[in-house]
Amino acid sequence: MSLLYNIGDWFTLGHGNTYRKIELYQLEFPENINLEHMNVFAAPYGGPIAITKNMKQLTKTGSSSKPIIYIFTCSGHLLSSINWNSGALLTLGWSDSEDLLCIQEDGVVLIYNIFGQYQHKFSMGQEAADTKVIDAKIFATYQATGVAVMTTHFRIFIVNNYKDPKVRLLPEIPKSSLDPASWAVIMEDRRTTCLITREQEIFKVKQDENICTAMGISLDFDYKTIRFISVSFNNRHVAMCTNTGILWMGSSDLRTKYCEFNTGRTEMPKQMEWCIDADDPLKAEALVMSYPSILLIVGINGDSNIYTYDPAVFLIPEMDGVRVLTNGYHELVQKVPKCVSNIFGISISEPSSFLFESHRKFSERSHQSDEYLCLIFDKIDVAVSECIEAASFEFDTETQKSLMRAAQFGKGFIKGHNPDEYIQVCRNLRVLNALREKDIGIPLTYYQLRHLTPTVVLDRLVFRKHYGLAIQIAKHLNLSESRILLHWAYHKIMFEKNDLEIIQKFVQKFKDPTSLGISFCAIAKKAEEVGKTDLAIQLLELEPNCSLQVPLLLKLNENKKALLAATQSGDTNLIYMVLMHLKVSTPLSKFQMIIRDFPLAQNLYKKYCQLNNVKALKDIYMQEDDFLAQAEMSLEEALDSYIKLDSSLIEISNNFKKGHKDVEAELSEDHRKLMKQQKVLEEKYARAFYGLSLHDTIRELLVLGDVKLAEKIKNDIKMSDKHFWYLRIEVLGSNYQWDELEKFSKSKKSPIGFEPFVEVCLKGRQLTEAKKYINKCRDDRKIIWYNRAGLYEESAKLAFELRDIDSLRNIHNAASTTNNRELITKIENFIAAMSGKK
Amino acid sequence: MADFSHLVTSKVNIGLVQELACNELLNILDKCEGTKVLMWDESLTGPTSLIAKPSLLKERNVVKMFPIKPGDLPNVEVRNFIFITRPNLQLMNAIASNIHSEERKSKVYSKNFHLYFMPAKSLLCEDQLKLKGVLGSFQVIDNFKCQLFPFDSDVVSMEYCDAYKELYIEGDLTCLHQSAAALCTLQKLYGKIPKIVGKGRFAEKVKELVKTMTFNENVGGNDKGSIDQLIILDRSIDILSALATQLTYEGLIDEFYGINNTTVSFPAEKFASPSEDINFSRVATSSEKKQIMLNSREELYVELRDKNFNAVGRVLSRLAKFITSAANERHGEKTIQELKKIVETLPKFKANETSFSTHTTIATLIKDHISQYEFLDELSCEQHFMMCVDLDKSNDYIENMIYKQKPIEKVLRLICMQSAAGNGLKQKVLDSYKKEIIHSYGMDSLLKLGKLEKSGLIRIQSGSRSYNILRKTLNLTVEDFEDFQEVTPKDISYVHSFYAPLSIRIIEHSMKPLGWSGLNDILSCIPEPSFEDYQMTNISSSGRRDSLVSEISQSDIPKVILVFFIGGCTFAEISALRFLSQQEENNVEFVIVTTKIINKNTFISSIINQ
Repeated sequence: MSLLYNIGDWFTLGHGNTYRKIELYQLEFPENINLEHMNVFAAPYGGPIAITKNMKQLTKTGSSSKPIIYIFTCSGHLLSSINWNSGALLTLGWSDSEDLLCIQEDGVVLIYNIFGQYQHKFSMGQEAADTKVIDAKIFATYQATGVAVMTTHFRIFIVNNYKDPKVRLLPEIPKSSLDPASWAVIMEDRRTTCLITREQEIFKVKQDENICTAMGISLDFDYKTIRFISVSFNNRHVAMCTNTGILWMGSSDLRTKYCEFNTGRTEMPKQMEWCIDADDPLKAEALVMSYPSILLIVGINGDSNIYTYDPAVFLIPEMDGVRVLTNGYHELVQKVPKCVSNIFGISISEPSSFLFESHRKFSERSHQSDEYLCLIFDKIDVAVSECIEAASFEFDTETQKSLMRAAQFGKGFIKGHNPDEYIQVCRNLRVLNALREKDIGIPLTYYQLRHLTPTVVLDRLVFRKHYGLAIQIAKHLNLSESRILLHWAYHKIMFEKNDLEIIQKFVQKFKDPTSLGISFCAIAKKAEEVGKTDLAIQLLELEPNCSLQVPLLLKLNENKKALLAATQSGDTNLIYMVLMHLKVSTPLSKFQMIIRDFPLAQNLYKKYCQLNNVKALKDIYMQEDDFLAQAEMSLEEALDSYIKLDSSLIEISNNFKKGHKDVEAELSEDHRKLMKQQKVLEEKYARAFYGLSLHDTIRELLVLGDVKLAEKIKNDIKMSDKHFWYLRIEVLGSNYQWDELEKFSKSKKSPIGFEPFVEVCLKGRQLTEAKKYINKCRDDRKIIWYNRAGLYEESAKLAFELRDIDSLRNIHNAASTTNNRELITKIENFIAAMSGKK
Repeated sequence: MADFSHLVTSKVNIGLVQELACNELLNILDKCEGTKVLMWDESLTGPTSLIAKPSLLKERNVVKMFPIKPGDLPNVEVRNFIFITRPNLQLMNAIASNIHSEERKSKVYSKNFHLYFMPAKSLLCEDQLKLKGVLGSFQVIDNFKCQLFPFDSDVVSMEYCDAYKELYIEGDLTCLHQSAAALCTLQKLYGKIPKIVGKGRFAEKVKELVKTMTFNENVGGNDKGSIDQLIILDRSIDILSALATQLTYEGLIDEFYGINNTTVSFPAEKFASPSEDINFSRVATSSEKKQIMLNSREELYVELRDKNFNAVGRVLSRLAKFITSAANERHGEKTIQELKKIVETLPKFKANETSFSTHTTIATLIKDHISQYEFLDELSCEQHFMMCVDLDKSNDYIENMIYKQKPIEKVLRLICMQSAAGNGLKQKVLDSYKKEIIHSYGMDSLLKLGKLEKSGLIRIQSGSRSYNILRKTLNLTVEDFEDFQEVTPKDISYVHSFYAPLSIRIIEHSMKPLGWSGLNDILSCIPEPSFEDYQMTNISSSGRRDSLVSEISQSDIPKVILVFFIGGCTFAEISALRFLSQQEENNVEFVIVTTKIINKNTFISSIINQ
């Protein structure tokens, strides 16, 4: 089956190796730019293109005017220009994050962004600066972008990551009177390696290895020098061109030769780039060479194809093809993917091809549709997925559509078809088409998109300030929008003049910051970084999460606001953070004034002082007129030693008084009096009295038998009668002075009743004594005390008299443990009698 | 101590809390290679046993564990010392002295130090370490993010010791932030809690913090989790229940012996082997203490723990009969099959029997304590206060205690109860108590009184007597009290024999048809904010309302209510909640989270002591 469809620009290099040229854009450069006199430095992955006057021509004419660097998108849209006013420019190149690296003869590398804004610079070292650089290469390592420079002494210095420049020197090649003819950087075993050619020799020098390996290649043709060397995008293949125009193509270790080819031209190609097969990147397929006005494509089987072009042709290698840039056109040369050639190839009878045809006939309402379908009915799933796959490789939207429609038509005949792939490709095609639009000018292939990942592509869009498209794509692919919004916010902060407008815009856009994943705090930080302090503060106020505000507010010196935010967050650790900051940054008096307004903070500070700085705590109490706290604090301090207590009690008492704690004041004063007395007592009795409580002092005196003095002190210090009585009873009891006790009980009316008497008697196991006092107790208490004394009979009798059946039952329970049968029966009789009456 | 299976029994799997904390700990250990010694903040050793088995630590090259003490480090040949501590300045000083001494000892610096703060780093502590010049000596300073310790299938504690003191005396609200963080952790494990109600200004603050944190961290998405409602209560709204003597089995064990992290120590000699023919190996050793773990893994304990102590005897004697008859059965003549059956049940039987003998011993010990006149007198004194008898004059019993110089904690507890019941004390009464106390115990007791006044536990009478009002409206003291109610209770008041803890009564009422809003009027006499808030709008209508059937079946699923106590709760309160969930008309399960489990003794001492 043969179909002529969209294959006008196909060509073959030997059997089965079909290539195609795809026109990406028609270009219209500004009038002053003619690529013939220019050098072009383009970034891979459809990145920006830097164009500047040919440096070599410049030096020839000896013009002193400084060059201008223009930066274009792939679609020829001017992004920016740089008026070069630094040192002698050697070469340019792009990093993986689309920074423009400009290398000067003195080894200084200046870095600009795609908008021509200067970022920073670094040097390739003193030696490079002293000896001057003659050539430089910018290369991709596994994770970053590196720079290699060759000095006039043919020493090579490398930096593996321009963001973290560490200059290393590669080993020297053997000395010779001849100069190297060409060199290239290649990544081998994750280490940067250089291949250098001199005459017929090839030297390999590797970082971190101190040796220089000499290598060679065998060529059937005669040659003197290897003049040109080129490494493939994936570091797997190498091509070399001799002064006689012979091409050597082989593996990067130079062990395998794919092919030798005579170009028949002795002039050197301007560029030479490998065209890698997207389906199988390990397989080398073809080399694209550019000469003035000519493009030569050589397959590794020796077949070649020549195209005539504009005088100026520039090649841009990609992971799955080579882009060709001329004054008027931007094209992509790539191997036709298998799935595409299976559908559109000549004399093809693949299922996908039939499916495509069947759908075409179907839309023409032709019955042939069914015939085609019948041919492939058992392989329809293969056909569908091949159509879907092929669509993803197409740049022409009409072709994409017709392939997807064919797939859609076909999948109707599959039971339980899994539509994931179909949906995925549809989604990605929309994204790719949007990116390829002239306004955006990022002509990515499906492979490239997959390799870069949509997140990186979004970042690139955001960086180019295509916020709208980025948001659309993020929504379309269900990716987080927060980074885009954040970048947009950063951009607004940096370039918008009116703070108020910015805030209004943000408030409008970020109604629900948390669910959007936006942090006002992060935006505020940016504002602070660019010096818009006021804006930063206003933005911080929008941040709902107080705890995030605090560190930045401190940095902005908004101490009060920081303290407020910290207290609102409830996180005491944050409050301490502010306190610590304030304590060192503000004078003490001001500090104390600030924290007065924040009770929580003040409390925490007090707590901190209690452990670390008691004096400061005292200051606060004084300042706050907190007399109670002062009193308690001095009391606490004074408790260490009695002497200290003695001397500070007046002050303590005064402070209690000022704090309206009259009782405390009085008690402190009393205690002072007591301590005075105690001193006297110590002398009199040669015993320790000093520091005892009133209770203990009096008890001690009672034990010593000095009732009179005890009474005097009791009256002086105003101990209650009850307390004193209790003490007297207790001391008499513990001294077994039962007669005295009885005498005492009759001396006056007891203010505490007779139960304490009973208690001391029971404690001293004096039942008879106890009985005397029990009799004087209240009736209901009598039962209890009889019980506690074990006098169940008496208590039972009493309970019976009082008609207290509950107590009787309790007594019965208690008495059952005594084994006194007689007693128990008696109680039971009481109970029976009472229940009977009831 | 070997496994944590007992955590998994209820609808909300508390095992997840254990797993989370355990993984945190293992992560810390895995990060540090080689042999290691763990240096613990002493207050954390107990709780940690609740999250990780010792064998797990051994597997990870933990050679030994020590409490952090100032001075030299223990002499162990290991590469790594891992300090795990609460952010506590005193401990920082101890750690600093450890490192200083180590540095002096060995010129060649061979040991690695790691420092982990639980639950989160504190600037203050790092500052202190910097001041001492040791901040740089640590290889790692990081967080051990563990806020919650699983006590049982329905109880989780933060083991935050001084919450009440910090909040009410020092005005330090750290604990509220940590509580909110803990509640967020629970929401991460069990899903968002749609409804939050509560009473108290700190409860309200915690609610606000939980809401902002949930919002800021986007916790739980928009789906309702397995917990239906959160009730947050300030301890201060019900001081009386915290101070009251608990009369449940578990509560009494705690009050007399102190249950720490579900473990309790008894004098070992009381636990002599009860019947020698069953178990020869159990000879009482001369070592002083016998440690017993009390949790729901033990069937008998589950039955006993929540009972009023007066009912415990009956359960035990019933079991005694059962065991004797079962034992007798064994001696009778049997066929081989019957014997085989018996042998199969033997391990379980033995476990039951050990458990039985243990609890009989414990019950005897408790019985001894509560038969003391002192205990009974004290109980009757506090019960008078609960009944609002003679609140306005100095209490003779309290005065007698002062005269006898009984432990000041006991005296102060009763005064606090009088104050709580009467909405404060008459000025005259308070002044007289103060005077007597100073006369008896000396000047330093003035500071203790000061702390209690500052915390509001003792105050001058003002306003309406809210306790007395609530006692009537919420029926807190059951009037026609009969003994049998302790054995087969009909009401939560059984946990204090006739007094129902206000905290739990509030929760009970909130489950009634009028719900929380119906309570507001009743609670208005407590001058603290009351709130009812939603984290998700309109759960009932956004939920499945498609068919009648699903509604009915949904209502069959018990509601899960998370009760959070700021400032601690007692075992009696936990028992009361369990009692509520067992009542058929309440289709509800409770999960109890507290800053710490407290009782009347620990609560008072945490406030008055340094």
